[in-house]
Amino acid sequence: MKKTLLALCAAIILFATCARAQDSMAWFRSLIENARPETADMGGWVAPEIYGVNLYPFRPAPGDTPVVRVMAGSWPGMVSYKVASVKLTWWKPGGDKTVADMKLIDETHGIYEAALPKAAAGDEVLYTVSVTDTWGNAAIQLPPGGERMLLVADTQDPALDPALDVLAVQAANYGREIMLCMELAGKPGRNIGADLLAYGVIAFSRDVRYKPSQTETELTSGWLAGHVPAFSISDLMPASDLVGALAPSKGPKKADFKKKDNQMCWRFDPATVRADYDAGLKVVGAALAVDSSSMALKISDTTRVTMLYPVVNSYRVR
Amino acid sequence: MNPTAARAARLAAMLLIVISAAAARAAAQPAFFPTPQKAAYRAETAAAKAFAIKADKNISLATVNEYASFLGQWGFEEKEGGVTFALTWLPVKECEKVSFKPYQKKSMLDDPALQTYFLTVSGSGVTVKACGEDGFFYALMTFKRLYRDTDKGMIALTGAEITDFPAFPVRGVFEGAYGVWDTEGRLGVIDWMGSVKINSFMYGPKGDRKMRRSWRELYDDIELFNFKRLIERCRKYHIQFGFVLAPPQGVSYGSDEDFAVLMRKARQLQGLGVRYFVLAFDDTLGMMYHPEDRARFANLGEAEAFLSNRFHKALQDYDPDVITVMVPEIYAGVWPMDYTRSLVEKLDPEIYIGWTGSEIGAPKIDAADMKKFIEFYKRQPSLGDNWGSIFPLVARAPDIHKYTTQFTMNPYNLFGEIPIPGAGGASEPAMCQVQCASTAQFAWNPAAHDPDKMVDALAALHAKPGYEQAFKFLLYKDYYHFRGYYTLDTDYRTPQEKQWIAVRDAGGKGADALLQKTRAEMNAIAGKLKTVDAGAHNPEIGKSMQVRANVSEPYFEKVEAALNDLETALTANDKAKTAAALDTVINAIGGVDK
Repeated sequence: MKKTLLALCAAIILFATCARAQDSMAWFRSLIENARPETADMGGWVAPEIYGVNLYPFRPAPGDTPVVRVMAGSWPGMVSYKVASVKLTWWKPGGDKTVADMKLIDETHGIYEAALPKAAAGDEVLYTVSVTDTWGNAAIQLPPGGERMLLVADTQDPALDPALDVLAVQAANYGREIMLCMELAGKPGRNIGADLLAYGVIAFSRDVRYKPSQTETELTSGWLAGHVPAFSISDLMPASDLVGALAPSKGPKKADFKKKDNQMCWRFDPATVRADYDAGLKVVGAALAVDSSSMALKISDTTRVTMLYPVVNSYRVR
Repeated sequence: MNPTAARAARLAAMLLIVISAAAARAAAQPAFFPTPQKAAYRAETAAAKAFAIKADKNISLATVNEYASFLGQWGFEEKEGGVTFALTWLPVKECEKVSFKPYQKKSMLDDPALQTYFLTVSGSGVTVKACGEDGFFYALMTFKRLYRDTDKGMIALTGAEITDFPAFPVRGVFEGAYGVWDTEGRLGVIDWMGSVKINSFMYGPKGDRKMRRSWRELYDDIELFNFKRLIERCRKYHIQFGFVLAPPQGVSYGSDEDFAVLMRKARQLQGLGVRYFVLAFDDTLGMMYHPEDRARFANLGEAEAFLSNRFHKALQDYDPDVITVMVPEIYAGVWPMDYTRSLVEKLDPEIYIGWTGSEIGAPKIDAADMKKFIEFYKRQPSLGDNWGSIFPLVARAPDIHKYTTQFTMNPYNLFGEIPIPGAGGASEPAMCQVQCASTAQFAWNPAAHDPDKMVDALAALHAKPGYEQAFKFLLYKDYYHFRGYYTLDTDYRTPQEKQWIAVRDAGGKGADALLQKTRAEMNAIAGKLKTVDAGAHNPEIGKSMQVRANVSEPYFEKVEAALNDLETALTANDKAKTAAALDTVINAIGGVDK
């Protein structure tokens, strides 16, 4: 599956020459031959899952001590990573955020619990949950408001050209839109020697095809916030449109792209990726290089995987 | 004219002008359901398709975000110069002054005051006052029905003064038959439910073996993920997602081991966020399989009560607000017997009892039925109507909301269990938009429920121009079949029947004209029925209606034969034969097999 994903990334660059690429295994061979160990350090593209975030009692009254319970787990169908920690972040509008560890209360189902402060009349409390697994991949609830939040950090790799070294992916939730930003160690470039460069933050869902028999992550209907400097492409595009991506744009831009210093940011409507994006978007950042003469693909750097939920939970005490 | 008289005349004239102007401004209700409890409408005004929200300090951020999110989805830009929403929080007592009193208020869902809203649309100003987040949401759903897109970036907005609240605080759709909808189908149903203010979705398809036959098995991660999607979608539309667990197949009622297995399953659903459970003992071979149970419990009722009470308490340990319903083996009628008496005596009063009325498919449901249940069971029923037709509800008395807080409908025939000709066994969640529509109307505002108006509304909503009559015909035809199957206890007659009954009661006067009219209408409808699948806006609904249309031929043949006999009698001027032929026509029109 990873190969499929990498091939998708590669397609951004390769589709221009795909007419001559009758050897359909060429991309996969290229990937295997050129893959760097660091690019495989993603935990099988599996991030933990937040299945439920619930408040007890349903409508807190003055004097109640509300309790948040979270059901979280990894994805046992592919890997056996376990949830390592679950954290609750809560705040009042305009107030400081408090982060608390959540306690495992039900090992069978992966249910965690933490209490919020005693409720007082008129209190409005907002809260989010984040989960990290034993591989280091994360699931994060991102509240609206436009505050930029680090989704995943990647250590600097001295062996990599800074223009290909992904340091972080950040996200901000603007309510109707989300912004994904990728930070590099150096300025993004058009090429390094004979290699053409491409960058992307892939946002896709867990069960992109929605069919019970096809609920493994597939990328054929994923979306890619991508930038290919050599071809001036800086937009969000569906996998199915990749083949035609180099043709002049016919429709409106699907993402607002901004590049500044070492950062590239894409702002877009997450409903474009999937209608019920609240159920989670899987996000990973990647930098790629393609040998312009042999068209050999090199996945230069990727981040770990984050399951992103652009939501916030809240209650008001009446 | 003296000065006083002249002044009086001027005043009278002014008053007349004011009254006339007010009358001119009043407008009919835009076509939507459920009908608000109290509403006055005024003419449309033009406004830019943009919005700004001015919320008082008591309004939660969640409500403000919800308004912004839905308005954004509907294409409104967030900027000044368009529609301004002023949101005001009211104390609950203000809403209790206008809303119906619930029969019993014992759960988080039972309070209609929290769903009450006051909506005023004047020019481009919208004021919303409510006592709970649900009320603000329902006001927004009503606002959606009050505007239409006109020119680019503009809307026509109907002026309105609305005070609205539900009759039944809990209004539900129960996926409870033997088939199973897919997740995408359910999501579509939930989207629709939210738009018509239905607030309870009960998951209980008997085709899900993990809900029933294999209740001991936990859901896997993929199934959990799909439940998560359903629950999230329900939250978006202020809908409680309920879950049915049906353990009677093989359970040992008194066993600690079996109870631990049952709770392991229930806890999985609680972890997802389910706060509304049904423990179903219905439609199984009711018996105690295990000798330990037979030794311990006097009868099955005692055993079911024991397990239900234990289940409810364990759910409550996790969630103090949990709602538990138990559906007994005897879930229709009121039958004093050891089994039911044990339930009355032993079942925790906090637990609701699921009940379908006097029969599994109730011929009628009225106050007498409800009182009979309450008198025997000493609690309110959780009313689940197995209405098995795509035709709107009839024979459900508008005042039954005084005897329960819950009205839920199981869209039963969608699975072909009731022998609707041609309906097959297909699972058709899209058809819920037709079949469950009258539940939305009846459960919110039963006094305003009118089956014929609902038929008109459904045809206007779902049929493309030119197909409305064919669509309506299929609804009425379904009713003709269904009322025989359920032996409905009602005086309701369709408009077509009423016309012919009027002619018969007038001694045949006007029969010839009505005969010609009926023939012309039937011919026109028959022509459209051949392609009715293409005549629905929703292809799934079209497909389902086509299945029904494809088996209409015998009906047309019977009606045509009856009309021919009538024509012969009329030509012969034979009064006795005409009277007999009129009866035959009425029976044929009404699908009566005589």
